[in-house]
Amino acid sequence: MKKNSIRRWIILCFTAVLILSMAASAAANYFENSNDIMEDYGQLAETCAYVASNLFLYQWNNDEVLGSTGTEAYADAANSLRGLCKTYKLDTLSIYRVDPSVPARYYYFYVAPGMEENQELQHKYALRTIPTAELLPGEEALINGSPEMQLEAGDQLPDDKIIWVSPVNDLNGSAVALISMVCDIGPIRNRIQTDFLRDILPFSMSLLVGLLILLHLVQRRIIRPIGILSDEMRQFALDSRKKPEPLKLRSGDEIGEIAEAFEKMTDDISTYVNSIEKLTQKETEINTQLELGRRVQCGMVPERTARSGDGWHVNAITRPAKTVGGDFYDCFLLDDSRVCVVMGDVSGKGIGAAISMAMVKTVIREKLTAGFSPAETLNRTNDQIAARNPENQFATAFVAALNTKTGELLYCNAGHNPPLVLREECAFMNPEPGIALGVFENAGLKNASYTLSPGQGILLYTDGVTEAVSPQRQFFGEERLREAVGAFSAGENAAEETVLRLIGAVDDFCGGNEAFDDMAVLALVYRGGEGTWQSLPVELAAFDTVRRAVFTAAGDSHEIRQALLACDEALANIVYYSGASTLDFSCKTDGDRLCVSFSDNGIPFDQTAAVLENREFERLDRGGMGLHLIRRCASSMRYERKEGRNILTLFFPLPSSSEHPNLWHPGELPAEI
Amino acid sequence: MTVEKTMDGSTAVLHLEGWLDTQNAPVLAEALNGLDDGVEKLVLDMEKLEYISSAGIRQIVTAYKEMNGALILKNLSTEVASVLHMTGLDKKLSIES
Repeated sequence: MKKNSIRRWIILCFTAVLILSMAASAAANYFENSNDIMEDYGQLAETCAYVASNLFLYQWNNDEVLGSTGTEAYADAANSLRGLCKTYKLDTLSIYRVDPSVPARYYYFYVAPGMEENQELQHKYALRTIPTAELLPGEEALINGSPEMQLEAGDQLPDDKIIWVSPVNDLNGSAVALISMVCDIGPIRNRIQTDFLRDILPFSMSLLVGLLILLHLVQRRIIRPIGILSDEMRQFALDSRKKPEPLKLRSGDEIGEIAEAFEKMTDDISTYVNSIEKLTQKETEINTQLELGRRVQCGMVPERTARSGDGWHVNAITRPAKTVGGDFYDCFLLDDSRVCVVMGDVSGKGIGAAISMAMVKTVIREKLTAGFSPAETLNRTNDQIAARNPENQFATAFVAALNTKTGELLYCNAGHNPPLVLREECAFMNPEPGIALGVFENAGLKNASYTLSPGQGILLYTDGVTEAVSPQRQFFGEERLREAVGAFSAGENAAEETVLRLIGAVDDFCGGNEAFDDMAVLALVYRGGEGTWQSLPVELAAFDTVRRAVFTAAGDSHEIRQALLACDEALANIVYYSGASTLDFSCKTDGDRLCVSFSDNGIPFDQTAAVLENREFERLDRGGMGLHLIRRCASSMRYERKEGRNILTLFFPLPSSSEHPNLWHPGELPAEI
Repeated sequence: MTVEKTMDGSTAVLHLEGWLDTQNAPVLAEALNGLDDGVEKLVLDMEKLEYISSAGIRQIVTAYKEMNGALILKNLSTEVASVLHMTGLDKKLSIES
C-alpha cells in the first residue's frame, strides 16, 4: 500500500476511532459498574450494621454479657456476631468505643469468620483498650455526630481492603459504640471486571464489524473508482490523441460525476489535439509554399547583388522580413554608357505583395529596356497598374539612369524615399516626391537630372531602413541613415562597404530584434568613365598636381609612391624630350588598379618601346634610368598616337591587390641596368 | 625639398628633407656644387627624405664621382632604399643605417 494513499489514511482513521470509542465506552461502563457494585456492598454492610447494633443495644450492652470474655453470654454474643460476619462475607467485624483524647479504641467484640483467626482476635482485642496512632477519618466523622455509615478506603489500609464504620445509636441518637466491618475488595474487583468484559465485548465487536463494512464501502465506492480514474488519466496523458474507453463508473454519486466530467474532457481534448494536428499539417504545407515563393522571389530580387562596369559600381542587399515581401530593386546596363537602377516598395506584405512586386519590377524593366526615359517608364507602369488594380495595391519607386561617361543621372521618383547622395559630406537629394504608382491614372511624373562627379554615388533604400524600430520604440530615421553612411570616399569596394555598413547599423539599432518591415538598400557609385582629363603646364612643376591627383584617387602607400615615381619619370621624359606645348593628364582607379594617362602634342615618342640597355654604374648619371624605373613600377603600359598626340597610360596595382611581378620585394636580385 | 649642411672637420653632412623628385633635383645639385674643395668626405643624411626619383639618383652618382667614392648615405627610408635597390645603386654605394 502506498505511503500516502487514501486507503491507508482511512484505515488509520478508522482504527483510531475504534480504539477511542472502545476506550471511552469501557471507561464509562467500568465507572458505572463499580459504582453499582460498591452500592450493593454498601447496602449489605448497612443491613449487617443495623442487625449488629440492635443486638448490641438491646441484648448485649450490660454487665452480664460484657462482664468477662469467659462467660457463656459473651461467647453466645460473639458467636452471633461471627454468624453475621459469615453471612455478609466480612473479613472481620468489631464493636468498640473510641476514646478520642488518647486516642484509643476499647473493643467490646472483635470477630472473624475463621475459627483460628476469631480466637486470636478475641484473645488480642476483646474487652481491651488498644491505643492507636490516629483515628480513621470515618471514626472522627461519627464521633462528631454524623449518623451515616462511613466507607474507609484510605491510605492506611491495605490495597485490597475496605472498611465500613457505622454508629450504634441509642434512643437519644447518640453513638454509644461503633461497628467496624472489614471486607476484602478482591472478589468485588473480580466481579467488576467480569461484568465489564461481559458488557464491553459485544459492543466492541459490533463497532469493529460496522467499521469493516464502512471500510469496504469506502473501498468500493470511492477508492477503487478513483484508482480507475487516475489510471485512465495517466494513460490519457501519455497519448492524448487516443480517446479512452468509457469508464463505466456511472454510480450517480460525486465520483460518478467526476468520471463523467473526465470522459467529456478527454473527448474534447482528443478532438482538439486531432484538429491541431491537422492544422499543423496544413500550416507546414503553407510554409512550404511560402518557402517556394521566397526562392522564386530571391531569383527575381537576389539577396545580394554586386555589379560593376567601366566607371561604375552597384551593390545591393534586400532582406525580406517574412519569407516574401514587397521590396525590390533592379540594376542593369541599358547600353554601353548607361546603367539603370530601380528601387521600389509594393504596399502590403506576403504573397500578394510579392506577386505585385514581380509585376511592377518586370514592367519597369521592360519599359526602360524599350528605350523609355525614367519618367515615361513610371507613367506607363502606373497606367498599367491603375487600369487593373482590384486590391488597390500601390507601389513607390525610384528609377535612375546613369550616364557612365558623364556622370549625369536622369531620374524620376514615384513617391519613394529620397536617395542619399554619396560624397564626402552626404546629403539627401530633394527630388519631386511624385506619386505612388497604381493610385491614379495619368500620374504626370517628370524626369529630373543630377550630375555626379567621379567618386560620388547615390544610395537608394526602402522605408524598411528608415522605419526600423529600436527596442526603445524609436525609428531609425534619415539622420541615422546619413550618419551610418558617414563620410563617403570612393574606394574600390565603396559601394559594398556602404551597403553593409548601413545594414549593420540598422541591425545594431534594432538590437537583435528581427526587423519588422522588409528592407532593401542599393548603392550606385560613379567612378568616372575615361577619367577626367585636366591640362598641365609642360614643366616639371606639373608633378605636384599629378601627385595630388594620385593621392586623392588612391591614397598614400608604398605602392602608390612607386606609381608616383613612374609618373615623375614619365613626366620628366615628356618635358625634356617631346617638345610638346600642351599636356593633359587623367588619373582614376578602375577595379583593382590605378590608371594614369598623359597626353601631349609633342613628337611621336613611345616610352614603352624604348630599348633598355645595360649601363655601367659610372654612366648612370647620363640618364636612361627613368625608363627603367617606369617599367619596374608599372604593372603595364599602353601607348597610342592619336590625333597628333602621344597618349601614354600607365597601370599600377592598388594596395589591396598585393601580388605583382614588377614590384620590388626585399631579397630579390636587383635588376641589371 | 630642403638641404641643410653641417660640417664636422673635413666631413660635410647634407640633411635632405622632403621630396627629391625631378623638379627638385637641382636643389641638391646646387648644394653639392656649394661644397668646399677641402671636404674629404660627404655624408647624405636621408632620414627625412620621403621620395627620390632618377634625377635625384643621378645627382648622388655625380657626387660619388666628385668625392672619389668618399660618400656615405645614412638613414634611408624604405621608399628611398627600394628605389636605390631597383637601380642597383645599393650595391655600389656605402649605406649606413
